[in-house]
Amino acid sequence: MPETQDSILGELSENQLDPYTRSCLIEISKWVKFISVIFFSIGGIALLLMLFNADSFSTDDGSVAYKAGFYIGVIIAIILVGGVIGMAFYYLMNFGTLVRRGLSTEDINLVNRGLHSLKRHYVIMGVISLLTLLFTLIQFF
Amino acid sequence: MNNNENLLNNDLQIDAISQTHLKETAMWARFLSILGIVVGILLGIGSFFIGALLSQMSYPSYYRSGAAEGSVMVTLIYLVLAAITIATSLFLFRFATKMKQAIQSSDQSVLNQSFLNLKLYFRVMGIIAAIYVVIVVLAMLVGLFAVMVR
Repeated sequence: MPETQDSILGELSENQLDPYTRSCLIEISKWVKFISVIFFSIGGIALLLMLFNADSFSTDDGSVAYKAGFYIGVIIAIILVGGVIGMAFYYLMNFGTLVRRGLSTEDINLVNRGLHSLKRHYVIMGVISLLTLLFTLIQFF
Repeated sequence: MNNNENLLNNDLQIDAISQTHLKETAMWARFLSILGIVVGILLGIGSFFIGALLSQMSYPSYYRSGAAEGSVMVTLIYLVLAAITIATSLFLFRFATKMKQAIQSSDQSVLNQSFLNLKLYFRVMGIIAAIYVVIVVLAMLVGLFAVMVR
């Protein structure tokens, strides 16, 4: 960003992270860490159960090759989708950690990195929602 | 304690980079919240259809006595889910709208309201996540108990 534009934006902003905003951000950081930890715990357990429970994906046609292919396909799809959603929750956790650290050290750069992570979380969730909406609409028509 | 005081006492200025991130976050949050409200409304409307559909389905005679109660229960569960979806989406929508206003007008009170709504949103999501964990743990315990009894 050019320096002039940067300074204009800087001058326009009179908003501060005052004590009230800070208390909100601190509570937000606690909740987002809690939510992320729950997501990773349950997601991890579900993935482990799935990896060690291949029989639940067996089909009735008796073809071993078909069963193996189907199972591998399902696992790859779950890892892909889980990976993308996992990335979103990693960014959410990162947001909580960085903002809290930024507030305790008075470092606006850390707060900015935290806010950048929050933005990434919402971008990923937004794109996933858009794709879900698109596939749902395709199914209708 | 001292650390907490330090977290609350000083004022950091929101700079251009923070503004850019917050503006884009608000844009995506607004989109997600509108989608959430629409899904919540559809879920609410759908709950009555699902209830009616379940009550009209043919069941074996030994299930029939509880079919009506079951369909009411399903409708209620869907209505609760719809209410939660709409409520959380409204918090997110208010965060996004007020954040945009705060950035445009440099109004500190609007910025505070915006973060308050984000806090409420994550608080509700956290409570829902905790309830979900309790349900999952209970289901696992019941499953384990059923396996042991069998």
